[in-house]
Amino acid sequence: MGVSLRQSEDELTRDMLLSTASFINATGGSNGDNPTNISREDVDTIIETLVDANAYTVSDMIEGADKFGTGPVRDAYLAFGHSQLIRSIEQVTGFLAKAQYPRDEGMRAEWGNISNLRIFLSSIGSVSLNSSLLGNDVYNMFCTGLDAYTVIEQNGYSSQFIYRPPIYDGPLALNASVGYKFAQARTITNDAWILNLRQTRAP
Amino acid sequence: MPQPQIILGNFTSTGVARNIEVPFLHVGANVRVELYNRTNFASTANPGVVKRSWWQAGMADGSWIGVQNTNGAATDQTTGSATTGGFTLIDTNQTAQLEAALVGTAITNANPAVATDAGHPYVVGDIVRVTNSTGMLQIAGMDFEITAVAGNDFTFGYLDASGFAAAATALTTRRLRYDDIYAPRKRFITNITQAAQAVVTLSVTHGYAVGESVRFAVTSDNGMDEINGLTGEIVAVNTATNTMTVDIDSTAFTAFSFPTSADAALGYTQAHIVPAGDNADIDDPMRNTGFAAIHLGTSVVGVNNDIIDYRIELGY
Repeated sequence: MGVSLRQSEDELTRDMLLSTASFINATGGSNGDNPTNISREDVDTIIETLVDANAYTVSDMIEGADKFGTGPVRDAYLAFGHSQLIRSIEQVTGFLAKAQYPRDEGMRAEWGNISNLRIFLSSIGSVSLNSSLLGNDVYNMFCTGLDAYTVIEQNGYSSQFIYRPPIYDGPLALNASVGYKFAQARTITNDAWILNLRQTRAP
Repeated sequence: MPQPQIILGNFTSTGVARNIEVPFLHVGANVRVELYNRTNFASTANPGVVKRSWWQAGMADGSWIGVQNTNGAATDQTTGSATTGGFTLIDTNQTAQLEAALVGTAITNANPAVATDAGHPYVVGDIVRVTNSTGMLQIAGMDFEITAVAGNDFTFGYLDASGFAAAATALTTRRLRYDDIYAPRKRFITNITQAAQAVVTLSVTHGYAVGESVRFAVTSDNGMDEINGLTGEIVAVNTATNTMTVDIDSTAFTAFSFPTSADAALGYTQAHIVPAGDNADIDDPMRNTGFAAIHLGTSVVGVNNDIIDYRIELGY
């Protein structure tokens, strides 16, 4: 139930960002669609736009180490996308997988990084079905600086797990129920610090 | 065993499809809905009016079973079933936003633009997402609101395509079952005037109010990139033309335009606005407009001014 609750929170935040965040279409890819698949040029555009807006990076750098096959990780903004983008992202010039980080500081859902962007992928990432120029699915990757958006817990209403034991069901106490509820509001706190990099999948 | 909920109510029909929101409804729920046309239950109209209709979980989306008055008499003509225009359960958490694709044959390069698709089901107020608009790729991927319907034609009333080099020779449209969940929403821009206070036209009813602020995302592909990144407060709204007037002086800006179809095919970011604050009413945060509802199609919803009574049973 705890996983479900947190996942529900993530889905609501995802939906809020889809509805309200500004977007940039990937145009540097090679699949002939609009948006295209992601390219290094698109990542650089996102980073330049966030830096120009004075967005703070979220994570600190990870210094390089004397380990073969690893590389340093820059101060980074965070990007949240769908797991169907794995193939596309790994083809981008400069992609560094989490396993290649010099220290074990990658977060669990993190897939890797490109330049100043650390990328997190999930099966509940945002997808706009059949929305590209050619009618393909468009994947929304939300690239965010620090404190670009927030979740506001409603005053005095913390989340509750609710268990109703079988005795409340009926005379034979056959059924129990579990559930949760929570009250939150979401908002973007600085619309210049969050960008939706819309993209389609690589061929 | 928890008792099922029974929800009773009524509405006055406007003749167009509508939703009845139901708390705790979800895809897969045990639900039954019945409608009664109170106004025309004893109608002697010809053809006969659908006086009673119902649907329950397990039946196909859009289907219904109903009782219709005999043509010209207030007696039961038939108890039949149909596959369209009926009831559909929609849950914005689970139901896909887009309906099935329809392939059309043309979009005029006119003001406003008019699309053609034989046999389309669209009505005024519907929002469709356009893709594969051959010859007019600059609008592919954008949403448009339908403002008029005439036979096989439907009008994108907020799109002036008269400056486009050519008409589209094909298109694919998918109707939106529901808008993006959180409001105020980002919206596609179809025009910005050059004026002391720029007037912005959006492709879909924008829903913004005076006092709210919007930020612009307009690249050089749309001409007026001087407005890119600027935030303006809305000083006036026109619901008839779906425009908003903002306190940005665009007099000296490059004229707004669309890229050519060929340039659009190479990839570009469509011009749009996003919400950027509320200067007038601070108790208006981002709103979650998600819902779970029974969607009533045109075959069961009655005609304008009919009072429709409903009964909904929701089990667990």
